[in-house]
Amino acid sequence: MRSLIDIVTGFWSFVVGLGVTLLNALRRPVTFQYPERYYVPLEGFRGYPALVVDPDSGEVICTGCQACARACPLGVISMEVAQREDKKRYPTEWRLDFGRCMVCNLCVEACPFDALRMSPDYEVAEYRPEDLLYDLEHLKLPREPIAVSRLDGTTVKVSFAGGERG
Amino acid sequence: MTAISEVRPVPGGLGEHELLVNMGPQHPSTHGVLRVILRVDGERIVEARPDVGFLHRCFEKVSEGWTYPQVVPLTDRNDYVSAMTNELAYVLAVEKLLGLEVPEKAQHLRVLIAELQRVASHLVWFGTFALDLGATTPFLYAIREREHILDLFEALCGARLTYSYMRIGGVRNDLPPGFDRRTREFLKLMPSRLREYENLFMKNRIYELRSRGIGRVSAEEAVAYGASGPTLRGSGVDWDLRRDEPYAAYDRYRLRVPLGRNGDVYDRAYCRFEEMRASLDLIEQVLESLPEGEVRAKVPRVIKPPPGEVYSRVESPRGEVGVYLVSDGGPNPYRVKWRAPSFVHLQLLPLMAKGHVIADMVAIIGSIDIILGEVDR
Repeated sequence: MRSLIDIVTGFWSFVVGLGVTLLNALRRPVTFQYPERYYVPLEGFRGYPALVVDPDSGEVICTGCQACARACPLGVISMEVAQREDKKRYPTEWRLDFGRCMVCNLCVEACPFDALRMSPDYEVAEYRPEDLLYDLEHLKLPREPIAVSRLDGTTVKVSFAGGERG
Repeated sequence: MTAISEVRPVPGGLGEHELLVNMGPQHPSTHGVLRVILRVDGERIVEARPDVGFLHRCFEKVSEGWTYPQVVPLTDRNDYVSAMTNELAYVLAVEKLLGLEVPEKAQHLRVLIAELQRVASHLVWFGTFALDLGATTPFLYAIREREHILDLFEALCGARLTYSYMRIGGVRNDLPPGFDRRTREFLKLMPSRLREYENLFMKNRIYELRSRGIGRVSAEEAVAYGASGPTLRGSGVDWDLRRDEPYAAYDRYRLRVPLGRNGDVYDRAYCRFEEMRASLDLIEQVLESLPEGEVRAKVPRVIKPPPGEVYSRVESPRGEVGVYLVSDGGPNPYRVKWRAPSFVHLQLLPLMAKGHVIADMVAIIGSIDIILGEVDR
């Protein structure tokens, strides 16, 4: 008798489990086909640290103060700095070894001029490792607003440019 | 190819009917690169010896060369399934060393984030544990629900796995707009999903037969081996750091601590599963009473704690994560010792596995929920 109850209850737990899978089979899928539909990252997504540009001139607002390079745990940031006639400093070369970067946001927080921001770009795969050495031109954030999504499901265009030269 | 016995001599030699079986390091059910050397007599395990260290990345040594704030993103890489709790353990240790007062709101946010992380971590555990026992479907469902939490974390700090969110003196930023509403939606959805998991897996007869009475550890043994977290509570020891030694703002909240009785795979799994419910309850409490104010205390740009040493511990989803910090007054920690619960629990493996069959071994490893990143550091 006990074994019979065992068989019945065991079989019933199996049926209940199948009921759950049936329920889930009828739900709408949570995945989407990526290249056909692009994923819009959430606002604040950390892609890679990139340089904010002045919306008018299109030049970076970085002053080359090296605060980010000092804050970086791995030392993946390096730059060369020159001085203009009006004594203001600007970077002539800015390098980020993205292959070693761990996207920890410490450089962005260290920047006293808000000249660094995390790019929402996530398609950063390359065929060759040396292509992950980003230079000044590559690191410039676009002047046009970039689409990002919010937690409430809306997509908004956010400007990543701006700021006064420090 | 050389036999394993030649590479590593077996103490006492092999018995007449005994065989050495190498489980791992690339076994899908070892949750990473864990190698377990099994001495089996037929199908029965006579001895199980875990061999760890394949994922060693010199975490403790690397920390000594970095400044205090720079170590925070590194702690993410220890227990990568619950990175927030690791960061919390580290920043609490540094704050203790500095004697720093953390703003009230940051304390509450830390509880909120740590509990969300606990649910996310237990969902990964639930999925992989079911996968180990041969049920593929719960894994897909658990990962689907975890995605809600990852979305919340992405909006919060911009990353989905290695968050780098906790800061010495508080947290990086306040909650983004819509966080509260999305979390409440998740809280509303989750209990029904947990009931589904129960119907699908936790109440399944085959699962019960495979987990009851397997890998038993008595309460005395668990305490003697230094177990903590659900592995300890599964044996019926009522010990939870969040309640018994509250850190952050845990002392302001009511916490339900589920307990097991027999200390077998079933009870440990039960504890973890029920902890998800307890955490959801806690998250709701935090959302109700989140204060206003600053989220980050003012700290100097270069943090130089006074010379001294501290030990700080938190209850991670796996057990007690402890950070032992020694400062010599410089900008870099002199010594960082990381007490990883998974590493401690792995010691229990020979005890748990003895006398069971190889298929049970997989269930036992799943039930102690080891993360090899944390074991090897």
